[in-house]
Amino acid sequence: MPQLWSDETLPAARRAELRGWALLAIGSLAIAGTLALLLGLSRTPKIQDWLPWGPHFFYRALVTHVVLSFEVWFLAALGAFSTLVAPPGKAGNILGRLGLTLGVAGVVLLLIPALADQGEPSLNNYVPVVGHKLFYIGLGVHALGVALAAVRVLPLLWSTPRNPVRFGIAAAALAYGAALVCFLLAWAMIPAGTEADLLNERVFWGGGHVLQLVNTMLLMVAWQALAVRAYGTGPLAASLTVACFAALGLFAAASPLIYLVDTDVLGLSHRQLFTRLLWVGLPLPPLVMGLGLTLQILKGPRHWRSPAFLSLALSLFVFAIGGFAGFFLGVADTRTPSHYHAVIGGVQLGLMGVFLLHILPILGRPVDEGRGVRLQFHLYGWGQLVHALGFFLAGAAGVPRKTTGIDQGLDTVWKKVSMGVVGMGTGLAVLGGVIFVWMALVRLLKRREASHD
Amino acid sequence: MIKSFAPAALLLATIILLAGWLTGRTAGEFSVVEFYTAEASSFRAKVDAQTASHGTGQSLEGIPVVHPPAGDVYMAVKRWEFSPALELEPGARYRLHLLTEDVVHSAAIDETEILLEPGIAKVVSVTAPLSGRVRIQCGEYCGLGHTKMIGSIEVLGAKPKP
Repeated sequence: MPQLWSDETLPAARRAELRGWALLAIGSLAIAGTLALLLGLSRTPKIQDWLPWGPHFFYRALVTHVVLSFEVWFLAALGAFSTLVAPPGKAGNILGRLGLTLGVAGVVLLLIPALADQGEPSLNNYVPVVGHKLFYIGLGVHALGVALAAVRVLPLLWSTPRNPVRFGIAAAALAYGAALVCFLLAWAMIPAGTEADLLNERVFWGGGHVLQLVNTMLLMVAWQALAVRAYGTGPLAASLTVACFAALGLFAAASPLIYLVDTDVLGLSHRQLFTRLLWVGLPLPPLVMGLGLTLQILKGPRHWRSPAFLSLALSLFVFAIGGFAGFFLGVADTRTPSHYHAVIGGVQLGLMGVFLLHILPILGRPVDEGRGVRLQFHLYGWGQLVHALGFFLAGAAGVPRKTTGIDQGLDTVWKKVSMGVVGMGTGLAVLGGVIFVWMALVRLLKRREASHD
Repeated sequence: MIKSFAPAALLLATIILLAGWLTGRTAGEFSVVEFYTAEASSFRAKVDAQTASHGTGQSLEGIPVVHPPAGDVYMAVKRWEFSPALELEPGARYRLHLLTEDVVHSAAIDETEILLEPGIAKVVSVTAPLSGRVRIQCGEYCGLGHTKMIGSIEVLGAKPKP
């Protein structure tokens, strides 16, 4: 297991590819952050009059921000992970390089409509879109690029002995393929002439849910890698960890069958079936692994000054709180964003740990594991937790989700204080995110590697 | 022993859950509602007649407020409004008829959700609580104003007396 992450096993071609995926991942976060800043400016009186964009810029920028910080960042992480474990060989290298090229080209294409102020934005769930050909083509090209990189790790599903991290990445690649099949089936089955907003919502609904299984597997890969770094061993026996990944992979692989079981892709029951996927298929494996990790942490030692331990513990805690909140959701109040912000925060913390503590050192661009890294994890982790707590309390008091201003109906002190807590958490998490992007990007953009000069 | 049992048990549990999910056995009970075909224009005429006979004369952000008696109540749905706003009697039972006039919406009424498709009116039974509000909101993405598509159903007893 330890040799998996050491640079001896990664030839120069793979290191170059890994740097490319890492730059795509972190660069996407940086652009997403810049867009978030422009979002703020486009809602600021006076300043908004100086900006050269039309009134729909806010929504286009919001769509692009979400796609970059949610889809591209996670999928580029899958691309990076695939580079680390794909069996050696020329074919794998070619697939990886081609995949990376398409992955980057896709992002460039989908950025064009947002910056050129073109296309109708749609804030549908999971993969919001800008209704412009270039955006859809960019999304497709990016998805194909990640698929090409991911497909080369599928043979690891059958290879023995089974290494948990290798198997986990292969299972995530399989689940990603299943998500793409769901997108394609939905697109093919929705009747022609369906109104654009409904079309976008339902095309990305099923596959969007399956992508959450992919994200969960990426998190579990991160937990395994960080636990090995912090403790020298994973939280569970290797066979049980592999079974956890296999369980998620099975659900993901079977999910396209829903399109045969319930063919009315526009119906309510179809929508609710995929909602059930997250209730029935997702919780058990991360729960088992999370319990193992909790025991490992309780047994100790607990080195709070170690960034690997910190990212591991915070990731587990924030994800667990978010997962627990998922069992207390209302229909349309802010308990839903409370749940998904916390679970996504948990995934982000795990991936941040892997990027800073594994991938950058492999690339010969290590970070100093001092106060800055620890501060970053604390700010981001506790910020996400405070943010989610505020949303949960506000939702329990009846504040509707995805609303702003007067539509929130903040008519009690409880609701106002809860939403104030949300804002405070957001501020802390944004600071942590900015520090992470800065630390990683500065090192990735350096021309020369530290340990391979 | 445990080392080999735990992975097998996890995979067995997964296969059982997977079979349940694919056959729909893990789903909760979907709400059963009445439905009938309806023309948008004739439904709108019922809404207008209801407003004429039971309107309070007030409006909420341009949407008329209606105080109907217990029984059948008509509510038109379109981007991004539920019209009219309702005032209900505490504890009274209503049959709420909903019809979308433009695209597909849904009505999430408290913990229940009903999909609304053009041309098909849905009827759902609502018993007004003794105080407070009955929350009604669109749960199917229908455009940029979707998140603001929240109806108003107030229970009269909840309003402070002037």
